[in-house]
Amino acid sequence: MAEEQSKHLLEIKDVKKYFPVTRPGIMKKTIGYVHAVDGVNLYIDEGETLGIVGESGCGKTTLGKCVVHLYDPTEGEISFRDDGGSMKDLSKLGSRENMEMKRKIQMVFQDPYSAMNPMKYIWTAFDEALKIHGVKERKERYRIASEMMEAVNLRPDYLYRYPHEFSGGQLQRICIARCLALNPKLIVCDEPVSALDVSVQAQILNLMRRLQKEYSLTYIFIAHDISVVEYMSTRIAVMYLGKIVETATGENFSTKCMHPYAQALMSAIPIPVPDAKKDEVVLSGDVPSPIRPPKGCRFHPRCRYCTERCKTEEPELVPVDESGTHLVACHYVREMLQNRLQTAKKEDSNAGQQDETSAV
Amino acid sequence: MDTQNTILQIDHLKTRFKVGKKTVYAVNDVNLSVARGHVQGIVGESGCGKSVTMRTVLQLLSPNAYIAGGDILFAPEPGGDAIDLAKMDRYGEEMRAIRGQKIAMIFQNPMASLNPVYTIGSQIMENLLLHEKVDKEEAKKRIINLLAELGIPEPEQRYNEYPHQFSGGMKQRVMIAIAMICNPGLLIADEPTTALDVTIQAQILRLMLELREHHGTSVIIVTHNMGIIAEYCDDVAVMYMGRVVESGTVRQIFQNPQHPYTRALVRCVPVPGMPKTNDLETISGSTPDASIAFDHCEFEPRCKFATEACRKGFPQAVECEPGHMVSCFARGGQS
Repeated sequence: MAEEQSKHLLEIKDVKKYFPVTRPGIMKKTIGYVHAVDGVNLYIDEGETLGIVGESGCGKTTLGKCVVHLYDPTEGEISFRDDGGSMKDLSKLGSRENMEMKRKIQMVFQDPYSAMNPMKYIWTAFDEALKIHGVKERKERYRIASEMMEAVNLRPDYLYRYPHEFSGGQLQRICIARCLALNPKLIVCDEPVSALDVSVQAQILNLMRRLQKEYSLTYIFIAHDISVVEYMSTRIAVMYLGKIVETATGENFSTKCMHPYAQALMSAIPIPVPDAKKDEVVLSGDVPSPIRPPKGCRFHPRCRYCTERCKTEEPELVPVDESGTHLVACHYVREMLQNRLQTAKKEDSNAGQQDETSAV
Repeated sequence: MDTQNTILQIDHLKTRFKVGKKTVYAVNDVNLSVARGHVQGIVGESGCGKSVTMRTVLQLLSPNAYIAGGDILFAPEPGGDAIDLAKMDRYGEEMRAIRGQKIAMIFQNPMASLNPVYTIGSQIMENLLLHEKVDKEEAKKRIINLLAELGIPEPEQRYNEYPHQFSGGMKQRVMIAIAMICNPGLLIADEPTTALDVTIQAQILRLMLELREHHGTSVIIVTHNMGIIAEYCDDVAVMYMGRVVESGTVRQIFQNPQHPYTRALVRCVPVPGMPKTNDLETISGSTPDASIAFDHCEFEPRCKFATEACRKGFPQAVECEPGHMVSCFARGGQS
């Protein structure tokens, strides 16, 4: 068991992050909590890309920020494998180890313009980060920075320009270069392409895939566009109201997902293929407030298969295939699985009959 | 213009902005016709002039903008006469009678489009009372019926509530109610779902298709999302740097794209189930500065197939199959 665990690069165990909601006034009495992330279990292997999808407010960004240690989780632990191969809990590190871990886990933000200081040269962003992480000589820092600029197809002399002189796509590439300068292991990409135009988006995605190979990076790719996530990821996790409802490998995720929410999400996302055959599942209503999440299964008020059991009992993530990578949190996953097998059988037999008739 | 089948026809429209001593060439020669009862999509990257074209139709332009030429022919009744909106006074009586009544518009950000200090009922009523002679009792009844049709639960109660009590999707429904209360012939939706989540986006777009069914409204959807075009539109116009480079039915554009820009646009978005080993197609470079007037095809600097001929002028649109227009020298266009 212990050996198996050490394969993972990062482990997230029962992580919860609650934000207090205070009553306005001098006393600031806490009247409730936003359950942004509410008990998430995930692991990431080296070299893979884990995609996290979900609607806004489902906690995917908060989870990402917990991983890069911008937030301390309220409960649970996030452990990262260090060079020796042992897992270390990020919240229990000494200050030196903490710095080292922070270097290894970097983040790319959604809006590159607000990720850079508009008053300072691009170079400052590299300089500061490298200085903090112990590159003492200025010459060396400049060498690393210009090397990274070249790695993202930009000229090194662009280092002495201001953020407003770049287009969104260029600046996002600079943000990626700044992450790479610290030689990280894991990069958390929080909606890195959703602020960009489609032609630029393709450039960034291609670049990220190339860099992943060259620098053997591991990505956590957070986005709401399932087509992009499916293209980038080896494994996908779907989040709803602070919980993971389904994880599976990235291959054909949109057709094999089982959770009613995941299915609805897939069918809601417009696919750029005319007359694409899709199951029509339109969700009614809005996402409930994460301050008072629904009891039982969190998705039950919007679910079309909802029963009494769903309203009281919270479903666990259970594996649905032999390898145990496809996990679904729904009470009725076994019934769904059987239904799916039956329809597949029917289709097979239908296809077989057709073959026979055509042979005759 | 065939007013029986066409509701709006834009011919050689040019819109410019004066910014200091510079001129921004936002719309350069747009030709577009919207079929009656169809959903027309307009797609393009940011800054390609798609929103400005739509605002020019309703003359909702800032004071430094002017129409430098072209016609906007609008035919409210099938078989009736067409009127030229481009020749109208922006602040005149005629234009105000059309704006909001015959042609309505929905904007990108519903949070910024509603007044926070008025109830949503009174904001919808404002548009109705402005254009139609109805007493308030009847107006309220009509509004509540419309709110119910648009899928807002408990419309009688919601009528008296303020915008902050509505979620993003519900606010966009209210915006649609304001637009639809006078039963306009043409509804222009400028990025109606960009600020919304995908599940809410699906609700809103389905709703717009339903409105088309029940009221016979023609709809223009402006978006940068190729998925929305493929799934919800009948016809598409692809815009680049203030010009329509290709137009046709959704199938023609997606299955047989002719213009190099359209081809790249269709292929640079990942499609579920595509092989992951392939790189996505990209368009090199970025969109040029719109304040410099081009003397030849605007896409030439980024085009893989550019030749000497492309630097000599603008290609005219040619029909490569029935209803499918493309402006490219490589596809037989002449300057």
